[in-house]
Amino acid sequence: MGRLLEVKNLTTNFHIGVGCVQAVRSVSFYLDQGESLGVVGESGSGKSVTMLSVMGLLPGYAEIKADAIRFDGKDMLNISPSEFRKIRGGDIGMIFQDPMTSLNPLYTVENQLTEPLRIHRGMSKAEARLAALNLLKRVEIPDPEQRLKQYPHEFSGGMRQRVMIAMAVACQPKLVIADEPTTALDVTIQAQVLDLLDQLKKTTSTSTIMITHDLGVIASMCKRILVMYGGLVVEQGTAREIFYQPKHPYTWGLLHSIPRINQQKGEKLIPINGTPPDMLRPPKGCPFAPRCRYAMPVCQKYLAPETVLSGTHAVCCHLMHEKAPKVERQV
Amino acid sequence: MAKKPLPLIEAKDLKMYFPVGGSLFGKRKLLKAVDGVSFQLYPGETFGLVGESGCGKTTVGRTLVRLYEPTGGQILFDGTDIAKLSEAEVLPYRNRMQMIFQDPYASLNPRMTVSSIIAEPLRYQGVKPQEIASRVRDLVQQVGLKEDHLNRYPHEFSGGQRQRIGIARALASHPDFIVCDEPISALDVSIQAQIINMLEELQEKLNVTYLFVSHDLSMVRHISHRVAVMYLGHIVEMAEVRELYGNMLHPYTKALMSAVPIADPDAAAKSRRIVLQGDVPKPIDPPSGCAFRTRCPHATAACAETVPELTDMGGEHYAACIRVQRGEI
Amino acid sequence: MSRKNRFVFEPIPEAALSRSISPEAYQALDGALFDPRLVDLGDAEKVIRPSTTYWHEVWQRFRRDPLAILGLAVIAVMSVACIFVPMFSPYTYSGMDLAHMNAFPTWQHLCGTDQMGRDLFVRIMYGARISISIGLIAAAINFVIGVLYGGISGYVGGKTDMVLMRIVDILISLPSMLYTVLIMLVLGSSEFSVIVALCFTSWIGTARVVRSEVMYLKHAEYVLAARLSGAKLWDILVTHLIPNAMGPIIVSTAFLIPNAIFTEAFLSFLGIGIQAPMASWGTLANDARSTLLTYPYQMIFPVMAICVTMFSFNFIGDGLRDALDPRLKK
Repeated sequence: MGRLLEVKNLTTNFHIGVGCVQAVRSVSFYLDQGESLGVVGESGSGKSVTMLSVMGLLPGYAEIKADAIRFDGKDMLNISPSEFRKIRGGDIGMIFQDPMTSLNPLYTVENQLTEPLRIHRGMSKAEARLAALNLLKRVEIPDPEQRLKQYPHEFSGGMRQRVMIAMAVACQPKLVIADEPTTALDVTIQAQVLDLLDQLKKTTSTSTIMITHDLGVIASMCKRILVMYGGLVVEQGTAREIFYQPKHPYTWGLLHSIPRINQQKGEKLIPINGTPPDMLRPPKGCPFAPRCRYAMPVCQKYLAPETVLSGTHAVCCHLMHEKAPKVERQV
Repeated sequence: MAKKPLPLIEAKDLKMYFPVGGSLFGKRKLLKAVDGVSFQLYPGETFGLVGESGCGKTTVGRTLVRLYEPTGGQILFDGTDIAKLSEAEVLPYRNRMQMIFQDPYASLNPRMTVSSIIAEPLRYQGVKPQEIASRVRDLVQQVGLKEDHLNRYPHEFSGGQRQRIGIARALASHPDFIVCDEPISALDVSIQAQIINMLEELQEKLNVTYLFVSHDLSMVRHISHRVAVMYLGHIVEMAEVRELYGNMLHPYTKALMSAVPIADPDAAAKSRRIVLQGDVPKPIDPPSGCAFRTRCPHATAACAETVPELTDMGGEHYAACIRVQRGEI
Repeated sequence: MSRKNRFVFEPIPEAALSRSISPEAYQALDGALFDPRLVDLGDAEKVIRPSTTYWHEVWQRFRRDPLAILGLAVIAVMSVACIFVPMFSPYTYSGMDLAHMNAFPTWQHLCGTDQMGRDLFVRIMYGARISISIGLIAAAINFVIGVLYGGISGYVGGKTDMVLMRIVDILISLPSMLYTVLIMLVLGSSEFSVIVALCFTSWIGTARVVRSEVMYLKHAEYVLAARLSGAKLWDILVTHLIPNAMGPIIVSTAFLIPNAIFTEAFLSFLGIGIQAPMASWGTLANDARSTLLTYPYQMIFPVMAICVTMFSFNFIGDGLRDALDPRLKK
């Protein structure tokens, strides 16, 4: 088949003192070479935990189960930590949200940039330094010679995020996972960083997974989108399908709760009532049922099975059942 | 044309400088967080204040409600200048202006019950206990919470519910004016709309005036009647909301608006982002003349000489840019 | 399949899991299940977890520390004993039984008698009254002074803070023993003067702790909200700052008590504190100096009493510090 990343039926539970947090409940998705996938969801949706589970970056009290996790044909479920470390950094790069804490304040930028190159690509110190210099140029950091010798605290937030991006793409990985990469940045700096990510995508055909809660970022950066809620993927499809033909009430709710450009003055936003679920005690049945205005008794009893609408579009909702009332989305 | 009502609050050349660093004997540097800001707020309207971090918008909000004593300028509240009043003299004005804070987890005292949090402003005003109790019950219902939430503690609530408690507290003293300092930034998207709708309903019912400080341009556009854009302590553009968003004049405003990602794949594909070069300069060391000139695509040598004045470009649309004023861009 | 893990996980109880359904059964589901009018949504704003206060959680964590509970038990027993033993004992602290001087411990005299035939056990219990009450009173006074001083200094800041802290620096740079002794000499020896001497500088530790907590907390948004509501300095300190700084304050005060007990015992041992024939542990130890080699129990029992009490208060202090540590909170 040749899929770059394939995840089937991933479940992640955190076993903490007071009980078990069911952060991810049976999530399946795939990513092809050169594709950009967006994962959108709010707190408790499990979007970050899903990727961290795939990457093996969760602490010991996380129980990770899946039918399959395959990256580039290789099994990622049953490998040892050392094998994991070879893949991470080498074939998969990660960009995290908080540029303040994702760079080690005690080491120079040169040190942190050259480390993956020397470990994963076996470069010598001199070769790695040259490569690091080129990386800084690519992420458009001015005065790269000077900057190499500096420490993270001497960089601004936007600059640090660029360094993070440089580190992530240093070894020319096949996949880059970005977890809320621009949430902590100002709007104009966010534009710079997104622009940069766009360029990198075009020039290197790296596959990307972008995790965010910002629908605008998703719309401009991602071809395919997963919408997650309560540890499940409630809808997935191409960007156009999700934004123009959404089928899940949560997706409708999300799209209606943000102000749109062509909205008339005085038009109210339509919020989703209630609050995101507590994954320590998730509701039975569909996690969105307590907040869904179309909820039916079956929604409180069973999880909805996946309904495939097209080659790329699928939704998990009981409204798809033939016995369910036909519901039109309020525009 | 109807006669314009008098402004409820007017800031005139408001300045707020913070001394930073320096030693006991050495020179201290001045952080000019707000450097000469003037605007008016009319009763019952929402005035949006947008900008990025370091622009001074939060400081403006806090200075208006006299959390800080301004370094210069005037704050006219219902005609009286409260800028240089002492703490004791400001006290009678305190129940007319209130604030809603950004962080729902830090704006409520974790050791107090919900009812005591909401009742606090009333206690300081000397309201009788029975009246306090009934007013608290009233407020709790107004913000969509229940009476049996009253005896619980903040940590038992979600972010959105905590923000509602904060709003109830702000409403307790029947204020005329509320500064909303990034009230929804820390909330989930689906909860933001709940809070925004509630703020709008409360404004209709109670005729409160809001200063809505935010970096979320779309939300500001949705809720505000008039908007001002700030950059490094100055207002660079100010207008009625549709006029501002429809007919941007200042280069910073244009860059800011184009930087906001559009939640629409087709429109996003067609839009061209104006990507500004470089970082936001540090407020402690602003560039001479126009603070934006270091990143402005239209900067000239003249821009470094004088700080541009905020001038009316017609129809109460103000812009602070010498080239815009000369009609060059 | 599960990823390899060194922990063994308990399976999630059936009740907490959501159910999926097979495709055939799904198709066959009854139409009534799909009728939105029949759904019971319940309360969207319900608060699910049971209500606990902060102190309740602190107590839960404290309870799990065995040493802290042991310390608490010992102090409790000792407090009860020092109240009731002298009431029910046939001996008084000054009653001399000249027939049984310097007697080794027996069932009649649990700790033996001293040179003048006084029952040591009762005297130790009287000593406990003195030590524990002095310890608690000193801690209470230090608490009040330290909290007010540190709270005002931290909150007001600026020049006031600078002046107040310089005063503290000067006070603490002089050796405390020096003016403790001076105070005792000036005020004479009594329980009152001991307390004054103890409180002269030991509040400084608490004051510094409170000041640093307050300096951090005063920028919290709920404090700003209180200022906006018209709160004055006193209101903010008492309603907002001190309750939230209670953790470190309590810990610092808890460790004051064993210090006070020791200092009192030391002063009495030196002869400038509580005077004989009052039975402070320090005076008992002092009296026993000359008979150390012949009747060691006369020194051992009072000293053990001091040690046990100090250990217990220290365990309590440690337990409180761990129980109040915010990092342990979820």
